[in-house]
Amino acid sequence: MKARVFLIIPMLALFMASTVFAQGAAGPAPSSLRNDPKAASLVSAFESRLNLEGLDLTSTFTLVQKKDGEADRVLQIRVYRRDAADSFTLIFQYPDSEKGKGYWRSKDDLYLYLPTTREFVYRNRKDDVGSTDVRTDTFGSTRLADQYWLNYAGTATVSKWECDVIRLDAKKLDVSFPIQKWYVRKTDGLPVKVENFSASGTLLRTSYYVDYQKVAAEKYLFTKLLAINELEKGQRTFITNEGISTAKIPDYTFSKAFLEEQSR
Amino acid sequence: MSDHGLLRPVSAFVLILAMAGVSSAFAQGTAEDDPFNAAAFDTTVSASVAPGGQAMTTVLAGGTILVSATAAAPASWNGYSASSSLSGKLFVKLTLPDYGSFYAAYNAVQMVFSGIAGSVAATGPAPDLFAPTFELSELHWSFDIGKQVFVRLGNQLISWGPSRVWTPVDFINLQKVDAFQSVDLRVGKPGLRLHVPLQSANVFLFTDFSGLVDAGSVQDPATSIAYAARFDATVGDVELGLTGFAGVKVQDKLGFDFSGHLLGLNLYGESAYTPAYDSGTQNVAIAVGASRLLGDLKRLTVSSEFFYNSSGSNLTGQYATMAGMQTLNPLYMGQFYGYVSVQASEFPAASLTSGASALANLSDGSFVIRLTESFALQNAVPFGVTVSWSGGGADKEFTWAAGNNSLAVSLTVRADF
Repeated sequence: MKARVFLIIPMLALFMASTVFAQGAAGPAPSSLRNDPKAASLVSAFESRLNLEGLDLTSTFTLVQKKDGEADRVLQIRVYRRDAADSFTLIFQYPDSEKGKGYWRSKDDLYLYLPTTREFVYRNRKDDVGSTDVRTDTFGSTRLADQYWLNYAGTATVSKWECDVIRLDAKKLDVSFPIQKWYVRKTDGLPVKVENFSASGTLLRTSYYVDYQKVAAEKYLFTKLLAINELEKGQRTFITNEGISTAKIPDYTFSKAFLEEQSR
Repeated sequence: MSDHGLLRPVSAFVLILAMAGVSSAFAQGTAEDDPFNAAAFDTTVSASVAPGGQAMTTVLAGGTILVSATAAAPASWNGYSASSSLSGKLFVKLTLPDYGSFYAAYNAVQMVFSGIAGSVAATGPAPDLFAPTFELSELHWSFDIGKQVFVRLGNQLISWGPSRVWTPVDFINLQKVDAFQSVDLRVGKPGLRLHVPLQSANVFLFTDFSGLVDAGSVQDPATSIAYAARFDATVGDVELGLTGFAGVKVQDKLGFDFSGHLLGLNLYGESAYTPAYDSGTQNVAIAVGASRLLGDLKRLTVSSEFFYNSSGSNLTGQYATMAGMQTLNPLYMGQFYGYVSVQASEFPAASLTSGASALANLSDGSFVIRLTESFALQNAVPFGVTVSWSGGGADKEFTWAAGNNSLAVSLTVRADF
């Protein structure tokens, strides 16, 4: 009888250990998939600062992708953003080989325009922009509560800031990542770090919001972001956001016709 | 002073130097050491960003190459035809500061295999397996005037209107676009295009020079140049376009098109009115289409398009003759056409895209049904396989060449660069 007990204990320990490892860096899933009011309130607060309803926004993103042992890759993208219509248009401007390519989002629909074949190709939120470590969601407004279950996951220190941590578990398949953790700075309620996980809990990417610019009263836009690919050692993408303007953008800019026209 | 006594201050000095170096390194840091070090971030980015802002001469070259092989057999299976070709479009674009861009594109087709066996008859002249055919697709010069007016002069293809399969408002191009071809091998038209972007609209003007030389003789520009204009605008979520085409020696045409979203559908349409002129008859052409993305990841696309062409008719029995006289105008000869398709990406596996479509000439009752599978397997060349069945009766639009109830299988490899 005792021998059996001795066998069962290490097996139980092994089973528990394997369960912990299977959960990976994302940690255990919330006991029930629902919105925790505190987490929902924190997300709503930072989205109200980062979503720019009432403003049109034009800026130029520069993405520098670095990989160990390879030459740096640089992309420049002109961004036209209108959060009130849940729409944005991205036009690749550099390098010449990418010129004329572009994305157009209209609500949940995202299209990639390929000038060589004059085709619009439907893309989902998992699309990496220009094969970098950045997904298209980075360029527009977010509606996290529509896409994820939000749960409060305690506090953590990121660099020198005390942060609230919110865990996001996807409600549907069309999301950029199945699980995310957002680290929100307590001092101003802005996100400073985001961890993206696979459905099995493996850490895929970490993004650091290095700097923000105030573009209107209580409205902010990140101007520096560092995205680290946690699977490809040494691969990271630096993003700067410059030439920011809140001047009114013509309606025509948010159309397929505009993308076609820009590529000619 | 002992040796040890001498070493101590030296060691201390070295240690201080080393610590200074280390502390200095920490003070500068890198973006990887501290992701929030904005200065290190800027240094890293500025070291990588290519010099921008300065205009420089650039040369860009690229293209699309298509390798295809097709075999077709009639319903009786008493013969077959087979062919294979390499075709493609190659382009080069030269941009010079202050002068704009020069663009040239060539089409090339080389037949590498052609065979007929059994009772299958040839439907055209025999191909040359030794000499490729080259054709200038586009050659033009583009520049702008103060970023207010954009000018393009030369041989060019024009893309006006949102439809996919039938494009009634495409008044300018010599050939209608073939939505079922993997590479657009059309030839452009000589002309001058002006584009004036406005706040929420665009104005285009095109001067068509193609009539200036007719049957080898130069013509009077006053009577031989044709003109086209287009105005398009975005109103809410809808894009609207109005197009006109006129000239002394051409049949006038007026077109209207729209595209937009409604109830989750992507809707579009084009209509064209052509009044009677000399030997040209009055014609009304209307194309309407819709597509919808389905599934959580929107990987399933269902689309359809219908076309009405008032001057079209049932030409059963006449297609072979028309082919001999080179007067065939595929997809624009019948009065009613329909097209439906379903495409599923990453289905049934992540590396596969599956599709099924049906295209019918509703006037003569012929149709072609296609099943396609695109493969993007690891460590293998991406390729596609299409199986098509043409039916609806003999000597009709989709059956006159290969026969009624004929089957065809094609294998394609397409590379873009």
